[in-house]
Amino acid sequence: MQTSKFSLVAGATIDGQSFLARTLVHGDSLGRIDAEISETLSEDIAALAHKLITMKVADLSVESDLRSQIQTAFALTSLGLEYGSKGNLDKAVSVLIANPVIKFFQIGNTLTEKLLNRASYILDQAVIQPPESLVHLDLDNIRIYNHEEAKFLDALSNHNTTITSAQVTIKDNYQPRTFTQLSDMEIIHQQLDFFEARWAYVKALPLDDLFSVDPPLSIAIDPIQTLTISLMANLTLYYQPTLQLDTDTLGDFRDIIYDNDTEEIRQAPRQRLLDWIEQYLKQDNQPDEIITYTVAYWDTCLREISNLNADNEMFL
Amino acid sequence: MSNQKLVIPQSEAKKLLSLPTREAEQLFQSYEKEQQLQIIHATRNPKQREELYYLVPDCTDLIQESPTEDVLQVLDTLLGTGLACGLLPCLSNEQFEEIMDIAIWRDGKIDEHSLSLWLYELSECERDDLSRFLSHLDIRILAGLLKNRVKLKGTLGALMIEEGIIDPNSPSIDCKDDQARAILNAIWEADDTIFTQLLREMFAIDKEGDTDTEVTTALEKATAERAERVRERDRKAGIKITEADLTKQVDLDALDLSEDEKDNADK
Repeated sequence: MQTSKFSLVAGATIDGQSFLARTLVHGDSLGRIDAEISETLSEDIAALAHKLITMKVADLSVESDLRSQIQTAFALTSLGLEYGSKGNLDKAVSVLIANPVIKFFQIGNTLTEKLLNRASYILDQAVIQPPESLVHLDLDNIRIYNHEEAKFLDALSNHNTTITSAQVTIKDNYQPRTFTQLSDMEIIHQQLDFFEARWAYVKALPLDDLFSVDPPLSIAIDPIQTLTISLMANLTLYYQPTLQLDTDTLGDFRDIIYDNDTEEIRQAPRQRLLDWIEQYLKQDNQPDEIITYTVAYWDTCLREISNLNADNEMFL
Repeated sequence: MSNQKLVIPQSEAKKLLSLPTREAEQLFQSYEKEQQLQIIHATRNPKQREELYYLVPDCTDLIQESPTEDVLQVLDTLLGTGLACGLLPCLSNEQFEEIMDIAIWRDGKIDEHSLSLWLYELSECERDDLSRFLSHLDIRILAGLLKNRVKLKGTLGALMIEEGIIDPNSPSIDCKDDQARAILNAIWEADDTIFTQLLREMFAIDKEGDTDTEVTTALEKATAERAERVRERDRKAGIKITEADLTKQVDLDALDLSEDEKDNADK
């Protein structure tokens, strides 16, 4: 009977694109990471991954859970090394040789912990709850993020990302991949900034009739986009910031805003709407970053008009 | 010079798993034990590894000489089915303790769901085996798991525990769920002394503080002792990293990283 630090980590390889892998290659090419140092580093990283698995994985027979923890061990070590060396490969070789691998893991862990907490908070809390007076109706909360964005937030809890750049609205996700570079983290932080800005924008809206909208916004694929388009349509047609949208109004709004011949959004009504939301948020004393994001968000929602069909299907 | 046949573990495992059972048994049993262990270890799929253990009439030695994590992987595939009781008796006491130190802890804390699953699995074992395992399972942890699921009713209960004359079907014991009752029953059937000891621990009989504080303190002690056991095993295996290291946060504004002296000399 023995503890084998390699049995659970057997066959694992470091992502060749990661900063850690590039440091090892660079150290080898400089002649500073010889076979012995390389072997020691590999063993230390394997031991680290092994400990992480035995600490985190409830069922050791689930291969994907093992792989996930191994990737996390590699990724956090790589992120910590990149941060600790400020992305300089020469310095990375030098600090990698002179410090225990666990130090880099701890730096990476500290860096990502804040990010994961932020993502988890948004996933759990970034919702609009029904007012107390409607509790008896058992209404669902309205999420400020869409389905693809929920997948992105959820993937982060496993140290994975599904985006390659920050987007005003996430429409398409890539296959989840472990984030291994500081540039990935910057993108993720930027994306979370966008979500927080959207949350602030929604909270600043007149939401009195939010939970009486039919069909309920909580069942929409993208509740806030639906809410925003409804608001824009009602503003354009009736000069009223109301949220209930009927099919005719949507059709009329589409005719006003979208030029079928040129397949483009018409500039004048577009600008009127963007000016309206900008002024509204300014009067509400919202910070510049919230206003900038929201104007971009409205513009993105307007572009979605071209995808709308007459029977309003995309709302659900 | 060794008489061992030359085998390549991975390909031999594939071959064994493709043969009819009788032929596979004959072939596997023709190997030295060391080779059998190599073949088992080279088989990374735990279900297939389990099949290989069954190719000998008694796999106790093979189980006990396999890396603990490899055995735990196999047992994990059986957890919750009640079928692990076929392999559990093969574990040595030391191995069982090591498995428990991994399997029922997450992030340095007791994982109640895993502990419940394991207790259910253990309760399916022969009572002699269960009794042996119970003597290597920290009673304080069991008490921590069950304290919110089992209540003592009336004034007689504590007295009956003190006198050691209580059983799980006593009206003084109120179980909140069937699983808790099944666990208590199995423990009582396996070893009534441990059963009484468990109740004393759960309800802090003969202890001065209040029950919750006593159970919490006992759990903290059990946690510290488990951490020490893990550290000692890891030290023997050459693993220097501890669970505490993995959760440690650092001050990102005050990183103190050394640089390779050779690098400085070159400069």
